[in-house]
This record gives sequence, C-alpha cells and structure tokens, in this order.
Amino acid sequence: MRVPPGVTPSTFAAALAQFTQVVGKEWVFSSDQDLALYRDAYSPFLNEPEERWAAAAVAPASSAEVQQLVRVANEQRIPIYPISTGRNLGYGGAAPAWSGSVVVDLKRMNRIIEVNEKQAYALVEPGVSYFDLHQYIQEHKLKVWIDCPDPGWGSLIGNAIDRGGGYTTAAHRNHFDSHCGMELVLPSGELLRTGMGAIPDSKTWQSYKTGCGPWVDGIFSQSNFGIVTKMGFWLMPEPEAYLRCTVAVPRYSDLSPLVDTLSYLESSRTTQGFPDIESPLIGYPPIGQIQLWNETGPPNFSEEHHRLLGGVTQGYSPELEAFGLKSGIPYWRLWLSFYGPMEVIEAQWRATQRRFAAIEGASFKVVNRLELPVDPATIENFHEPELGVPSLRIFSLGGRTPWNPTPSHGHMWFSPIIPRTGAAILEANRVFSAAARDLDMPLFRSFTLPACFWERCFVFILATPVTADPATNKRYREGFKKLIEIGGQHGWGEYRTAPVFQKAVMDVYSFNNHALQRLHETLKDAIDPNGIMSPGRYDIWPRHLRGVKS
Amino acid sequence: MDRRQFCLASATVLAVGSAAGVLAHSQTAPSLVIFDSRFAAGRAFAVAAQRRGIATVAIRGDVTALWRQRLNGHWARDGGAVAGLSTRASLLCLEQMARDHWRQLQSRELLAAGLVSWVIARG
Repeated sequence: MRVPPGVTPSTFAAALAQFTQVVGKEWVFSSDQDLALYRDAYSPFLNEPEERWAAAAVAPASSAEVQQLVRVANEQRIPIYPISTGRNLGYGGAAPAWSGSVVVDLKRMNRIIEVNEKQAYALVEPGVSYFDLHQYIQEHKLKVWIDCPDPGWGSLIGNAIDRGGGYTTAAHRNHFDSHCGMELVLPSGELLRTGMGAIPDSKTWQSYKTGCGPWVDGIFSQSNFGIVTKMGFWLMPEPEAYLRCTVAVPRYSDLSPLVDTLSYLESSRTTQGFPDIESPLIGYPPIGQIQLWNETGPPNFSEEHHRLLGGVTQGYSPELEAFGLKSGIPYWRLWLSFYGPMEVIEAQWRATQRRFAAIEGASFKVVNRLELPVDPATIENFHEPELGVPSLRIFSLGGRTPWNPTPSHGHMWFSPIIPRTGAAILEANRVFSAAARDLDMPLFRSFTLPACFWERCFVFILATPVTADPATNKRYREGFKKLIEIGGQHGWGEYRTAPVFQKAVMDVYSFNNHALQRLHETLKDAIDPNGIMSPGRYDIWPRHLRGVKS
Repeated sequence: MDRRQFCLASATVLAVGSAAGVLAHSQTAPSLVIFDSRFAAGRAFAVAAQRRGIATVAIRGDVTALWRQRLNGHWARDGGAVAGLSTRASLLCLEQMARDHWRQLQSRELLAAGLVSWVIARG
C-alpha cells in the first residue's frame, strides 16, 4: 500500500476506511493498477523515482460526499488533490503536485445542471467534458455554442480553473473569464457559493459575476483553497454566419503595424475571432493548420526558397524578403474570423480591410463564408474548435507520420506571456533562441510565432518533448527552468505550468520580495490551516511543509 | 523491399499473430475491434476479428468520430472490452477517454512501424 508522506500506514488505512464509508468500496482506489490511471501520461519524470504518484484515489458523486471526504482528510491530516478529469496533459495531467496525495477524482460528478438557451449560459459539475456539453446541446437542439480547447476531452471546470483558452470569440476564449459563479467545498468541508450564488435561491447566479463585496473567484483558480463542485459558463449564441479571412503583408518590417492594427481592431471588438499569425515566407504555420501540416507535410518550397531560409537570422534576410516580393509570397499572413449576422460581419471585415490597407502591399482574401449551422462533414474541413466543436484531432501531432517519424513520449508546454507587439515577438525570439541554443533545448530553433488566445497579449505555446531517456529528460527539465528564469529577467512569465515547474514559475512573480507568494501563504494558512488541500500546487505550501518540500 | 516495407510487412504478420492472441483471450474477449485502416497491419487485424464475428470500426489516426458515434455509447452501455491496432497517439487518446468510463489498458503489444495492439476493459 502506498502511503502519503508523514502519514502512518495505520492512520492511512483508517482514512481509507472512512473514505469507503462515504463513497462505497467501488470508488476507493489503492491498487497500483488503479493508481497508474492517475500518473501523468506526459510526466517529465517518465519512469524516474521522482515521478509523482497518488497514494490512493477516491471518486465522490456529489458535493455532499466531497464535503465528507474533506472532513475526513482534515481529521486524519491526509493530503488530497482534486482533479476534474485530469486531462491537462503537458501541464501535469492527473498526478498530484505533492507525491503521495490522495486524488479526489470528480468525474462521477458529471451532471449538466442547466443550459439556458435564451440567456446563453450553462451550469455544470466538474466531470462534464467539452464533448459532453457539446453532445447535450446537439441532442437538445439548443442554439448555443461552447468554446473549447484543443483537444476537447477535458472538463470545462478543470480547464477554466487552470485558466485555459479556446478558439472562438474574445468574449469566450478565456475560459476563466467566461465563467459566472462557482460552488466549492472549502478545506474545512464548508460549502460556498460565489457571486450572486451567495444569495439563497438566487435568480441571477449565472447572470452577474461578482455579486456584492470582494469577488473571490480568482483565488480558487491555479490554487489550493477549495474544490470547485459547480461552475457557470457564458456560452455564445449560435452565430448566423462565419467569415474566415486573411490579411497578407509582404515585408518583414510589416509585422509591427500588422500587430498594432490587429490590437486596435480586437480591442475595439471590430474583430472577435481567434487571430492566427503565420509566415508563409519563413514556413511557420498558423495554429489552425498545424495538424494538417503534420499529417500531409508543409507546403513544397522551391530549391531557391529552401536555400534562402538557411541564411536567415531572426527569420530575416534581405535576400529572403526580396525573394518573397518577387514570388508573391507574403512574409506574414493573419487569419481572422468573424461570427454573427452576415451583414454585420461583412461590415466588420470591410472596416478591418480599411485599417490594414494602411500597410503598403497588404492583400486580403475571404477564405470561407458560411451560413450557419453547417453539417458535421463541413466542419471536418475546419479546425473544429474555431466552430465550437470539440475534437481529438490535435493528437495527430503526436502520431508517427512521414513528417513526424519519431514522435515523442509527451511534452511539457513552455508558455510565456509577452506583450502584444511586433517588437516583443522579435525580442522574445532573440532572447529565447539564444538561450535555447546555449542550453541545447529543442525550442526556438527557428523563428517562432506566438498565439493570440487572450486579448492584449501574446503567448508562446511550445512543446518541449519528453523522451525515453532519463538523462535527456533531466537536461530538458533543467533547461526549461532556465528558460523560465530568463523570461522573468525580461519581464515575461508563464501563464500556466506543470507541477514540476510551478516553483520556478512562481519564483519569477517576485515583485517586492515575493509579496504575492506571501499573500498566497497567508491565505493558505487561514483557509487550510492543516494544509490538506493540494499541497504545493502553484508553489503554495502549507506551513508544515514550507522548507521541507521536495 | 525497402526497410519501411519490411517493417510494415513484419507488423502485418505480427498483427495477425497479435490478433489471434488478443481476440482469443478468454478474460478480455472483446466485443468491438478498432483498427487504423491506413496500415496493412490494421486491416489484417480487422480481418482476423471479423472472422471471429467481432464488430470492427476503422479509424484513420483521429478518434474523434469514433468516440462520438460509437465508443462513448459502447462503454456507457457497459458494452464490454475493446481491442484494437492503432498508432500510439490514437491509443493514448483512447486510453485517456476510457478513464471516463473507468476502463483501462489491460494489455499492449508494440509492433513494428510504431503500431501497437491493445485491449481496453474494466480493471
């Protein structure tokens, strides 16, 4: 029997017996075979002693059962680690931050409590996946869309409280921002509802986010202060139409005005869809087409084009630019999506073109013009999440293809936030590519473009492979931490990370002698004095583990 | 025959052998077989299953449609063990999705050319 650190076998056995009384024997897991399900499939410690394992897992079916489990954990001082579906591969999966914790697996709590079509919101439990909610909406013929990440197998709640992102409109892509109201179980076992949900029989829990007084929802994301058992989300009314367009610009120096114009248009809500920047000249794909490139290979470049690419620095050479101008291959291409009534989005597209026309040589194209809804076969020709449809197709990236002959054993996402400027893209490439070369890391080896999941900033989402070789993995882990540190030195920080890197990431958030971390610890001590809940998550440790943690 | 053809041919032979083992295994006798139809080994695996009267479903790497149209319902109805021959990436997806229904990988055999045969069932 595995046992949590600092807990005697007899105490743990007693706790498991109490857990069993709460949820039944069938829903307490302690065999190695069952616990293997809670390993991180992409662990950077693949098959090493430091890999994080659960000591047991327990699967409640209701908020009331969660309350009882938490009370037992408090009584017996058992560390617990809640997961929704545990699918955030690349950011830690289902494995606990503190090895030996008991995973509280919430996927039996899979009720879709309400989908309100007129008000466009849903209230769900943690075990509800994007697939589940999408299927429910389809079966009930409701005229609302979800916004889902790629892949769409995860939990709405899990992804939102890990602050994940999606691909439709700016108002919905930020999954934490698009939530409205939580129910959660505090480490004491007390049940809490936030926002308007604090009013008994509230009529506006999913309609008004903040309620009155301090708005506390944020402290329950990327933290260890409570177990979210219900959460509301604002959905998108099914749009009447969809436009997918491109803006292409010819010169390297056009990147800055391209980004600045995009920022204006997005901040003014002239464009709403997921902006996706590619470089046809450098051969860097838009995110929406990465899986297609992996399946069928990149576009065929001419011999001259290939030769010129070998001579670029920071994605640039005068010769490559001249070749692009001569051949009509744009340096940059921006993909834009519009959702709404056709006459409205056509007008938005016209206004968008007018703004970008200030860039000399800018050219425009409508790639798709759809009256919605469309049939599933049509959707398969698109990057499905941009049409609000969950998919697993992104996993073709991990598959062996002629273009990917040696797939990895997983990856760790390196995902720093940088300013929404062209200059920041160039600066980040300069800094990280030099560092990656020095560290012999397989990132930023060629010019790299960031993503636009969130308004007002860019984020790089770059996979560092996990290999079968522990020595290589160790080198990558150390290099990853160094990249985090270097990012911090330039004022950039990760938006999210796997447990193994959470200390390194939070160390970067060090303003005024780590005032933020000290506040987190003050909150931890007040809310969870016995330190039972997710010890170490985002480097928030209970008092008794500070200084002794691994 | 080049090296790639050799590996694929070897995988096909192994697939038939693997299928015989997997499909005949009494404790995890599958009621559904998934195969990646892009590979000869996958098609051979399916033929072996069909000869035993087992329903088969083809995929081409992506398992989204399989999940939506077949597998989610199959496991929700407690439809029994599922065997298959696929890429590792497809298996990773299915292994993760199986957890939603408290199923897990019961056996796995690595074949040539990056393919794998497997059985997912209740523990």
